[in-house]
Amino acid sequence: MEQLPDILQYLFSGLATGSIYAIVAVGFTIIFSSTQVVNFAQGEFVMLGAMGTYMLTAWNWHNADYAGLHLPLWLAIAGAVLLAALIGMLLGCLLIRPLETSPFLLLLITFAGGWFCYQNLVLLRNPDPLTPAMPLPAFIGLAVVTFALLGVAIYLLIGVILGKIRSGKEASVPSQIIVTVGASMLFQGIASQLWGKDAVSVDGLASGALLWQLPNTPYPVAMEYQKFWVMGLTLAMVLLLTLFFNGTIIGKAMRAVSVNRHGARLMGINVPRMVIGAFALSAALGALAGAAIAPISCGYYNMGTMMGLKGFAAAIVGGLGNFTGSVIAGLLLGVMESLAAGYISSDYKDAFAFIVLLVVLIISPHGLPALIKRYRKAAAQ
Amino acid sequence: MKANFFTSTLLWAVVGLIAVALTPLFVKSNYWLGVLAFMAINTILAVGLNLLMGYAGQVSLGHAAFYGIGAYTTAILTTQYGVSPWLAMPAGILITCIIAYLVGVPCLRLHGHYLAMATLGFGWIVFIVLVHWDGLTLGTSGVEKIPKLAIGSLVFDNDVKRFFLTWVTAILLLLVSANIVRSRVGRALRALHSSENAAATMGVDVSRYKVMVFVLSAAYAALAGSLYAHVVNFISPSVFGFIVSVELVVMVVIGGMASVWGAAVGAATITMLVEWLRSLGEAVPVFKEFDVIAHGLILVLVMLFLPAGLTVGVRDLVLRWVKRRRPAPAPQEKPKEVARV
Repeated sequence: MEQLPDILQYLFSGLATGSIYAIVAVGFTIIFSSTQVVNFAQGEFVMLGAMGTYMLTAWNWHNADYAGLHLPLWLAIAGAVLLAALIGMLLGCLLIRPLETSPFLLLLITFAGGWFCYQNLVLLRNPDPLTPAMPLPAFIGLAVVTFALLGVAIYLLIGVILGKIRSGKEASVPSQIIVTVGASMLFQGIASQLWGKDAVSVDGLASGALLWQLPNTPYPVAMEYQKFWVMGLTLAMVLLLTLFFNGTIIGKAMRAVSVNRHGARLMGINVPRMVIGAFALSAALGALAGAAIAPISCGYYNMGTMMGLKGFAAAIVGGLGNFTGSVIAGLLLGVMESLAAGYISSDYKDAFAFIVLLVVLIISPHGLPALIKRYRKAAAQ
Repeated sequence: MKANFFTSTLLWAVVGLIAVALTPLFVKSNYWLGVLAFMAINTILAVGLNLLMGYAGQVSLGHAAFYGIGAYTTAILTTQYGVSPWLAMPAGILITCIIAYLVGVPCLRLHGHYLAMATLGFGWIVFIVLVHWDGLTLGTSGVEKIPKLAIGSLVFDNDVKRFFLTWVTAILLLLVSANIVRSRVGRALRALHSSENAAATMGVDVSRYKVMVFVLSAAYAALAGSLYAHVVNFISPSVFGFIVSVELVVMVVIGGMASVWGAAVGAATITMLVEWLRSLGEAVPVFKEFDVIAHGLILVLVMLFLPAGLTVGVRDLVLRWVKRRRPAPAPQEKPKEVARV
């Protein structure tokens, strides 16, 4: 009885973190099943969700006399999710048909190169506190023009130099891994430049905690309201996604693409559009998870690495491409990690997920569902 | 055969050794000699990883773990137990090989993404252990005062000597791997890269070869790690983190997989690039810590435009340019008419 509040506390926190892993794992699953690409940049969408929300609420846009946008929280979250979905679409375009999607490449390069000018312009605008600053509209206008010019220049350069020598082949598995790892570093680098390296606190949908005093126990179980939000959002998302994939024509088309691309194409489904849609969907999911967890864990530029890796671990344990499997594996991983951190050692908290992953992979190279299937088959005989 | 002469390993090794011998005549700055020594260590790492990734086609996203185990074993043995570096270094390599074998046997049954994830997980576990096992590894503060290497009275205590030590080792290891690649083992590795089933049908013991090359490439990493420990004389966990594993993959990929020299080119390119970006960052504050972005951008762009890597891509470019200059002679004779029956 003495142990009960502890156990409940660990279970509660574990379920909340596990929900996040589950959403990230579902994001992996959606992209993997439609493209066979494992998107190592998935965690960065979590970061984009958190930092995007921060950007639209408290961040002061590098401007000392400007107090931030302070949009209503729901609007900020929606904006961050939308931003992440757009960036996810860009990444999808780059991965599936790099050559034909030159406008998207242009956008990406503009985005990547543009912040440079932005930072330079900030220096220009505020050279030192004594000189009067350039008015904000002029500053924004100048920034936009510079972005566009720089983007076009780089794009033309790359197009002229490299556009002709690229082989028309689709990227192989190792090179897809490398492109997504590269994209992940790119996002992190840009985020650290843009929003700095310090952790920032992000507003939550709810603050405070519910104290639940069980009879005959020394202290109550503290359950933060934000964690209820996290779990509720996850549950809602799982339900909505189930409805989407089973009940709507677009969802069914996406499933068809994941079963057989050529078959889907023969049925008149626009495969590239579905694939880009899958990227957008999974980026939006990741960003929502990020916006939900940021008030608990703070937002920082490399928060996506661990989130992404653990979500990926959950997706692998749940059998890559298996929707239900990845949700359950994500929750299990979160609970296990929380229990291990509480009872074994919090120093090695991050290592447990990977130890579990290695053990599962060694026992069953295709995740837990394969193991269960094998066990059932053995039992039936 | 002209082609054979120019591609002969020994020739390039001799050219490399001469270049190394001459370099200190031209590079006077101790700082740059240090950078070049570091480039040699990166070359060893990249060449080792290339055996695994380029030739056998097995992705490893946790290679810095072996680098770290090698470095930490020799560092701890020499500083805490007073073992001679010449014993500690082989001990580090041996321990790394044993760990690589134990990890490799179960993990190399996995394919593609599962293998990438397993090696990545292993890399993180090792990193977390290095950070948190304070009693042995001294945690984030790192191991200091690792003794310098010495042969008799020749102590490798200045930058020129260290430069020679690292580069001679690197060129010897390049020779070794160039020979491995040309041997029966190398052919077996390439065979299992293109198709494991076909290789198995031809009598290649696929799992044995995969574990073998995994252990071999871990040994390269461990050797590089122990060299690093004795050259820099200080190690901390951050040198062996996930980002370093990724950086190693970048070197191999940029250089062009499936070419021993390509990996060396990749290591040189990335080392110089990082150094250049760092000095740029010191000069212009806006460019500070730009290396992460640059890495990411370069990875994405090279993979999208030159999927075969820098060396192969540039070679193809040059070949195409030459071909365009000298258009292929028109077919001399018309195809013979098919005999009418």
